[in-house]
Amino acid sequence: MKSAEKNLHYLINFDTLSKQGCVLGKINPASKIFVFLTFLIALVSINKYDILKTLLLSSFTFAMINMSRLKYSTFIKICVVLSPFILLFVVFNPILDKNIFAFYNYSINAGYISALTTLIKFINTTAISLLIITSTTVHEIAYGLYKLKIPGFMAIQIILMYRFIFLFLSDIINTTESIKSRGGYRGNIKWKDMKQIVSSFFARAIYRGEDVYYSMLSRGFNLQNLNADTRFKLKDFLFLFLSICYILLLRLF
Amino acid sequence: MSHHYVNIKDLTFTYSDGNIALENINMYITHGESVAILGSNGAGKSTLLKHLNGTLLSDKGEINIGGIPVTKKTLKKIRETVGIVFQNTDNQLFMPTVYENVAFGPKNLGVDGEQLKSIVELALKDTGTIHLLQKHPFRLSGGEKRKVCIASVIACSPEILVFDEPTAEVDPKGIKDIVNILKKFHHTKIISTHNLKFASAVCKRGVVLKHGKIIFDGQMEDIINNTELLREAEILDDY
Ligand SMILES: Nc1ncnc2c1ncn2[C@@H]1O[C@H](COP(=O)(O)OP(=O)(O)OP(=O)(O)O)[C@@H](O)[C@H]1O
Ligand SMILES: [Mg+2]
Repeated sequence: MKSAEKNLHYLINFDTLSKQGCVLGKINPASKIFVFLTFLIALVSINKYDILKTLLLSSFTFAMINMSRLKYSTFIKICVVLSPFILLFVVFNPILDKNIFAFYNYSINAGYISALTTLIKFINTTAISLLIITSTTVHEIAYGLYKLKIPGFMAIQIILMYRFIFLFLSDIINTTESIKSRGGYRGNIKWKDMKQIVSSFFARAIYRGEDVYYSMLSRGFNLQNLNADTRFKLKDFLFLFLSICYILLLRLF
Repeated sequence: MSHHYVNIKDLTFTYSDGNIALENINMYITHGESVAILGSNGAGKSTLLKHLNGTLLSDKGEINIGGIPVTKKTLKKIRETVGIVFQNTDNQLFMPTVYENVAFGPKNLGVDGEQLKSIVELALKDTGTIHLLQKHPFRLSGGEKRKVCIASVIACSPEILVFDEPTAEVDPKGIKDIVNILKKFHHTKIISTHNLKFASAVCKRGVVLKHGKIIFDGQMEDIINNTELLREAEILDDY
């Protein structure tokens, strides 16, 4: 349990990384979000056995990381923190996916291939999420979503998720601490209790989300009057155009 | 300058689970007045304060802030006028650093650059939290969180300040700091608390709530010396 807690603390600290001063941070948020979404769709839709294309498309993520302040060490650490979920999949996939796949003269269990592409896709998705967090402020995200004509209620959901995920993490830490302090980890925590703890936890998360939203509103937050530096400049067009061309080129051929 | 008044007329509010939290509240607060809302746990203090900036809207009764009725349509203007520090601190500290938290409000009002920086720093200095500037709010102590929340709202320079339990979790020195902060703020103040000493240090007038009803509205002096009233309202500390 110790190390899981450390990992959560690590994620929370990550939130305080500075958001300014990199190339990516200077790109118009609407153009950034659009490009990243396109990339994710292109990536996720690749055939699960097409490892070459998956790798090629990853070069885009690599380029983006180099344009940002995201350090490789931070990135790898976060991937490790999130890895337990994906590792389970990677381990069990070859058992579930029993197709045989011919590779030159070798025949390989297709499960390994699809597990590998999934792993690469996961790493890319994580990287892109981190890039958005480290290069965009809440106000910029809100503005970007608004410009992309995402309906207001959805934009608010996304913004809340974006801010709220870190509060949620600290909530998990507090809850585990309080369970422990009541002797929960001495081996006598029952499955029934656990179910109740988890469900009350989610109920609380929803109420908290509402409170967070109200306190944002109380301090003048409003989707319609955001004051980000909003003009679309040449560099934003270039970024948009070049990225989309690159992504489509790799994806379609 | 007499336009920052608050007028509450026949306000009744029922939560969706049928709990009648406020019943027939009538109150007029003039510009520059400081009013303490007193009452025991569950008396309805937070519920009342949440109505003042439209976080809760009731269909029974009216609230008027400086000539503007609090309705769905006027919320934007009302929220610029009324600054509210909620009771729960964690939910108000949603940005990654203390600095960004305090900057969030002014940014929404269109302030940026050097001006933003100086507003934020002033608010942090006024609340004695300038040394916490780059910390993650999650890492703060209870009292520090409270002070940062106060700074976040003061930085929006509201014309009416609403405080829900500003002294909870704060040590005596911290309470003294908060009294000083509040004394510096010359506009209308509405403060809910069960700390009688704090209430009388900041407010001349006090309103006592019990089970969602006003049972007394008058001078703080009269409240403090009225043991009978304090006992009825269950805020007498005779333990
Ligand atoms: N969201 C809600 N849904 C239903 N009932 C609620 C809700 N919030 C508060 N209540 C109930 O309304 C009543 C008044 O609550 P309120 O929070 O206004 O009290 P309070 O005077 O602020 O108390 P405290 O001193 O503990 O903060 C209580 O009986 C409470 O249980
Ligand atoms: Mg309360």
